[in-house]
Amino acid sequence: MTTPLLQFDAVSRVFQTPVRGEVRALNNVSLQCHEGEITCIVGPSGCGKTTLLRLAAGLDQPSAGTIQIGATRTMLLTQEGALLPWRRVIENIELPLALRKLPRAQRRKRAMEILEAVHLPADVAMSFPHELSGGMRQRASLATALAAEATMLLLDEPFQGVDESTRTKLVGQTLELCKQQGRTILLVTHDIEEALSLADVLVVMRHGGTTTRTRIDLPHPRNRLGREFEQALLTVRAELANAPS
Amino acid sequence: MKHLPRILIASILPAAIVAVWVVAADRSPIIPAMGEVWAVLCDPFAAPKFLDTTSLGHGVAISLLRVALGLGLAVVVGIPLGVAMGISRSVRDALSPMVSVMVAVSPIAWLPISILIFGLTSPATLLAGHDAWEYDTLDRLRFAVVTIIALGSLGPILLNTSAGVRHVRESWCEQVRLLGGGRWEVFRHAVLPGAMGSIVTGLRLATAIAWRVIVAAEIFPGTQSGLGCMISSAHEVGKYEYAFAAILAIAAIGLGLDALLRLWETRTNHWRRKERG
Ligand SMILES: Nc1ncnc2c1ncn2[C@@H]1O[C@H](COP(=O)(O)OP(=O)(O)OP(=O)(O)O)[C@@H](O)[C@H]1O
Ligand SMILES: [Mg+2]
Repeated sequence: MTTPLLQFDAVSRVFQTPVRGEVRALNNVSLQCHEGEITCIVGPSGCGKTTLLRLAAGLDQPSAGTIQIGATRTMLLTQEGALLPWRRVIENIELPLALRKLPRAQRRKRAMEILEAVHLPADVAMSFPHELSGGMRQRASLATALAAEATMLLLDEPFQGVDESTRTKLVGQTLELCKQQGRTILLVTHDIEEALSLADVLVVMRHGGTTTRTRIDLPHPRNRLGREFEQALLTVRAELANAPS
Repeated sequence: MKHLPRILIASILPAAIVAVWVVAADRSPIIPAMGEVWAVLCDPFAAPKFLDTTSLGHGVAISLLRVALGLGLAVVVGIPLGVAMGISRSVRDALSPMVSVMVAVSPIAWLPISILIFGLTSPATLLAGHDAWEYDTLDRLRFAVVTIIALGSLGPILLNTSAGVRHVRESWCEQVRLLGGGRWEVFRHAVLPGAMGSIVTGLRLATAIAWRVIVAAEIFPGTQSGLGCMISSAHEVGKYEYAFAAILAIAAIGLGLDALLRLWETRTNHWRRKERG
């Protein structure tokens, strides 16, 4: 087995808050993500999923434990989307290209290619983020991550508020990113079925920080009506139900 | 058709003022007839009769140049300092008492002190020393007046820049950092554009203040040109058509400047208004 691209060892994160005192958002969490794999995290609201992703992105520091990041560039797509509101969609995608010192003349062309790769119509290029629908914004955010050539994508509920068929498409795209382009993905979702249809490794998180790590060895594309899928689903549901709250 | 009544309502007061003016000018020898004021406005570069000042057009140019120089100075000092205040709590603590005083005291109050400090120096005296009079226009931009313009506009620039920087969302900075930006890039691509709307609002307030202050400062004895000077010299010789013409010019330019800056403000803020959530 390869060395993990991301490794959490007994990581804790405690927030000091004026109202609630010490909030233990993560408690002694260990986790590994391997190159080219999709790791999905499911867990109840408030169990520390976003906190974990922020730590993995290097935006926050743990209170205890160690985090090793092997990826050259990690991108976090937050629940709210990650676009700069004063830049047009295409300018948002061009920003990482500019930061990577790509010559100005090539940026627009490259950005349009990336826009197409996330299946956004070319005519939204000149729109501002607030003019897009929630699902389009998610895809535009994903495009900025691709432009940054992130080797590891941290996705915080990326398909929230998107209709069923678009959702299916987005899930397919995520798989494609991982399996064909070799990117490593750590994805948080509330939807257990979705997690199961994507994950190579499924992590169930609970309040208080205990996690269960299960390898899902079903071949893609996964049939949600299949017997093995049903079985796995039942197991995960049971694990979540057993969680102390 | 729906707007017609509103236009009518809006014209009642101006019409009434014009009517009162016409009647008053007819009866009083001091109040100038509307035609006389109009004549001054129509020939702005004619040297005013009996007045110890330059033409209306020249006065407009000089007042505008003084404001531009003072505002320029305030921008060069105020925006970097405001950014520093927005970023660092200590800088904010160190400067805010001074800023509060600056905002509370009318800049005109500093004028005598400013004259004491700067005397008759101007960009021209820096260039040519005693032969400063050779650079007529530059010599009229006395530091004593320009400094108080700068002082008056510094407050709103500092406060709005600092507030704008403080309200920049952490998520915007994080996005630039994640995309591979360092400190300078975070500043350039997240902090500055995020604060720009507020900075422009500060500039607009500063311009409005500067334009009021310059007229008041020019009325103060010691200046020989500018719109304020035209008003005071008109008063001295009782030729009030020049005072009225100057006031109309002040109003028109003030409104024009504000409209321009408001346009700029709307444009920098377009994304903020419509952004959801
Ligand atoms: N910056 C912060 N300051 C204080 N407390 C925080 C902060 N960030 C998170 N927390 C707390 O840590 C806990 C975990 O939050 P987190 O956002 O990681 O949950 P989550 O699993 O992502 O929830 P959800 O599924 O609702 O998004 C919560 O109790 C939250 O209030
Ligand atoms: Mg969350």
